[in-house]
Amino acid sequence: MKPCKAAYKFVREEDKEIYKCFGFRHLSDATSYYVHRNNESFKGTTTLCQAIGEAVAFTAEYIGDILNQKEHTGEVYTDQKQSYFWFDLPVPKDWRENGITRAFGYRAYSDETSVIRFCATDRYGIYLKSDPSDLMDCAKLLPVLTLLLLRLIETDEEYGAAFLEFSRKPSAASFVVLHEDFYQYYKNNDYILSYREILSVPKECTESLRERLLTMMENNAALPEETSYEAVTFPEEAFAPEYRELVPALSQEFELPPMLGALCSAVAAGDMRAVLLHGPAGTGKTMSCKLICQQIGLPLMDTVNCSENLDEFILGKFLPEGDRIVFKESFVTKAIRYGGAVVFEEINFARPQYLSFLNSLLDDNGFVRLDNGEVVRRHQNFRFFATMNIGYYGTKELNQALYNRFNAIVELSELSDEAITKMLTARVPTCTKQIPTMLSVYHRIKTKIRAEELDIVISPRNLENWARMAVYEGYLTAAEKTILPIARNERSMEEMIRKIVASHQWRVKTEETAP
Amino acid sequence: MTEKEEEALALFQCEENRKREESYVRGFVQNEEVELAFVNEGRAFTDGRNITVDPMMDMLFTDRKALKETSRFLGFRQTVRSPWHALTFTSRAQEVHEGLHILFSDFPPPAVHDVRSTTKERMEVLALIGNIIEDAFIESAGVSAFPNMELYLRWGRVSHLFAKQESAGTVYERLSQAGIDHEQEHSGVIRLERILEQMTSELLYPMVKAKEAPAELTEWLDQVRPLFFEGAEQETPSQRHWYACEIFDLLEPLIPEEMPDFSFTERLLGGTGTHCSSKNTFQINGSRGRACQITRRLFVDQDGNPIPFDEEGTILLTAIQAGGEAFGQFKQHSEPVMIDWIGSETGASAMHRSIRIREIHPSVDLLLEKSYRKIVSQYLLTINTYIRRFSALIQTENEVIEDRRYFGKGISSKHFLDIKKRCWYRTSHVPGTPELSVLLMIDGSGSMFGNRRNAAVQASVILHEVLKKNHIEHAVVEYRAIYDKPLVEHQVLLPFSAAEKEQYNLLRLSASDGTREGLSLFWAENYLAAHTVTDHQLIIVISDGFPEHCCEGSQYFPPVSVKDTANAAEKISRSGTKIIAVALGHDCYEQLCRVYPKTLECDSLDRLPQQLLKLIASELRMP
Repeated sequence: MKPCKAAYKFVREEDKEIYKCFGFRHLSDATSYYVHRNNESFKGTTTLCQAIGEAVAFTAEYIGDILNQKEHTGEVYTDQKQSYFWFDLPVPKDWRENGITRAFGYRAYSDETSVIRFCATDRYGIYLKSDPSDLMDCAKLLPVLTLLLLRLIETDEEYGAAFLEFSRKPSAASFVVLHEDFYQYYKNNDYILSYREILSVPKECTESLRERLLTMMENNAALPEETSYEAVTFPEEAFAPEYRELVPALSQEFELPPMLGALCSAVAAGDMRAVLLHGPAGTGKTMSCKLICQQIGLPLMDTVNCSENLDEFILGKFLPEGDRIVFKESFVTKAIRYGGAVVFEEINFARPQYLSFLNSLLDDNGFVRLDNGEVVRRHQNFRFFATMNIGYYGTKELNQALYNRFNAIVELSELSDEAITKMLTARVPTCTKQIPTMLSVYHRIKTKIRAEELDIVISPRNLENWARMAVYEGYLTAAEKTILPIARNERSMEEMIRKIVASHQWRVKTEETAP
Repeated sequence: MTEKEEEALALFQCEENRKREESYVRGFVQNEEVELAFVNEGRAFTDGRNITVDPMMDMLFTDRKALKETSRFLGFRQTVRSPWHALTFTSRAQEVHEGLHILFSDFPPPAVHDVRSTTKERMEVLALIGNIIEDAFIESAGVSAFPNMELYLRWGRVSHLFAKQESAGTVYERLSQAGIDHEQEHSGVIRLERILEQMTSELLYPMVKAKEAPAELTEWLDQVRPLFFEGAEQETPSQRHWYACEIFDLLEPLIPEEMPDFSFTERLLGGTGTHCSSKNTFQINGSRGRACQITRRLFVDQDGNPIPFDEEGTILLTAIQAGGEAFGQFKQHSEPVMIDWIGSETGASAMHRSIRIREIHPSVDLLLEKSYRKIVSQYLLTINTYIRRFSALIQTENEVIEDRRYFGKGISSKHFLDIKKRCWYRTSHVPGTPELSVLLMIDGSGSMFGNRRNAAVQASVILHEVLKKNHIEHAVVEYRAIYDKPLVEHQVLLPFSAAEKEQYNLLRLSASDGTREGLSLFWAENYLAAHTVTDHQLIIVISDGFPEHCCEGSQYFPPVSVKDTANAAEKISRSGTKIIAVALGHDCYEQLCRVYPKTLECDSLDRLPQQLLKLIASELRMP
């Protein structure tokens, strides 16, 4: 029997609704959502069916309960090679009110053969010997399809990830994709279905899906909590007095992102000599470097902007002095020689050949050779920071050899709404009342950029500029100069942003903020 | 449904327009997490995050009479006639209604967790009472807080009146003509159904003069009416739920053990799923509705006096114009372009002179977008790896020495010691530009059916993604010759300088009939010449066997087809366009070796994308 093909032939009597599936019914046309590339239907349409749809919802509800840490007594087991599958899933109360009246649970088991064994159980978990009315053809398929679905989730990484996402945030569009992908995957597979008693977990099945999901969640949750570290700073005598003045002294409105707290100590202790920070524009990468230096009392000797014009004289150059030509060291060289930090901003804008000195500098026995022939050994208190955006216009692929020399590579995620609010409130206090509206515009533009994969960027920095300009001419006009230019003269995009801005209420606030 | 109506419906429900409507709803409820779905099952509902609407509800968009009646009833100066506009208005009305629920109602509905909901039937009755009150409230709140939404809210309610269901007629007819039999004594369940119908019509359809309720219901109605009206004016969801519970307690003696038939009340409401437990979705994360003070109701003021719809011509006109623009935009993508040639125009051998060549530029099929994106995400690692490799190959910069500088890397003049006369030089770098155009010709014959076609689709998608990012000109064409017809088709799935959305057409690759490669190669050469200006041009032919075709008076089979194609390939190669064939399988590799000057063997279909990319990479190194 081909369960996926059969699923289209059976439907519960007088009830064509696919339970918990966004109002879709048996044989609903979902072509407008998704057409699988292997679709072979006569008209090229995507049609849904009750049995597969409900198997998707049934399984997603189980996984969703685990992910949302709700109580669920079901268990799914597999072996390490994912050849054997076994499950025992209870039928939730509301599902039983929806046509499945007698079965309180389902069990199913499959091994390496094409036989799928399944059975229904009563309220005490005892095998229902007879073929009860609620095990009619449609409900019979539910455990079989659920087993196949669990197999696909466990064996196909991409499908599994999509299914977990759907279980967290169910939506009609992703439901159609999961339903159709499942059908296309199994549509020609033939199985022997056997209704018979299934006992406890077979000895081959040692891996629990529940445990795997819980471990995954635990690991994800543990990452931001790892903050127990001992704060380490440089002693004052580590640097000459004239360089000590270069330790950044930033105002209190700037706060180090919590995720970088532990890194500070590692940098101060010398375990992390070279750090690369990357992330979207406006997430405070350069500021984070300065804050790290401030935190550990490290002089910031130089901040180099790696523009297209960065040349080969980063370490110093020959300059005429009277009638002589002498080699003048840059602050980068001074940092290498006497200790201190340097920050290379947007390092992937620079031409790789001008950064080649970093390969020897960041090696274990770091040194650089100056143009005058002198070899400068790296001071033990020298620290190197670099920042970059990935995939922005004009950026280059960072040399793999250099990339590998960074001891820590940290991705700074986008600033949270709270952080943006705090930043805007501190810098442009007049915009406080309009911050929620500005954030709404910001998120809508970001969603549009993501959805249409546009090669443009909007950052909190744009919002700050917008708020500053709005003091003078109101939010609508100020947006023309500060927000619309992110579209880089792409007229349709500009028009779209203009509409988003115009759809918000600004009038009252504008009057308040006008000078 | 006419052809025009079908087309309008398909375009309206396409992914791009769904996104457009979704964006509208997200803007309205100011929540970027809201997802909109078009499901043609005759209902609209929301679970607090997902909104499902049916643009073809009651087939209103095809029902000219209902559209005319609705426009007349609303006092529009112009009748909404076109299917597209009707679809837009119907869909927007449901979107706004459900959006207002997200803004002002609690999720999950309070009825689900109320102590009164001891059985499914009791929960459904409580949920239905709650829904009547909620619907009346959100419509009042909608016009009070968002005056611009009045157009859509009124449309939604009035179009319900005139939309005709085949078996049940229109709501208008039922409200104004049909009624309960006054003489007969009715059971509790029927009385319950009629009470809820009566209250729904009084609250939501005050503009229709309903028949007077029968005497046996008067007492019940007198008790519940003030509660319904007061409940629908309460600011918060919990206050409204309190009124729903009070009404439920009053009507409790009428609640049966079996599920009553609330179909007409549900039809009156238009979207009962919103407050009927969680049968439409699951894992609903709770959300609290906002409080809102209402200043009027949708059709009447707070004292019950009618408020005529002040049709601001501009609002209606803007809505219609916006719809019209979108329709034009989507329609533009939906018509293929065909260009016909004759074999003699291409320089091919005489045996093709009477064969027609059809160059087809298919319409953009937005339905394929998701499938396309899935392939891209599946092979993202490969794509990104090759983007980097290609970028390294292409962006090898040429070093240029700039002389006679005041300062620079080194001194370039003879006057080394004279500070005033000596010159310095410095080096700068000029980025290289790719001088290569690639035309991927894919065999569209029947033998490609199945895995070979799938592999070719995947390979062309990956190839396109990599070449696009590196600004290398490329096009993908499917070629086939139709059996028994003197016709060769070249479907340009992806033209040179393609628009972004044209890439989805790569998934249109199909397999049928035969090929006539001797002729297709000449067409390819002409196509390249007409659309590219680069110095180096490369044709990659993906095929799985000898070309074969027959039509009246022209048999094109081996060895003739082999010789002819080999001649064509040689002639084109001599003129400077490189041709490389990729054979899908070992058997056809030996066959294609006899045809093409250079042939690669693809022994595993999984490796086809990598092989093609390596092939192009080697061409970039040594064009």
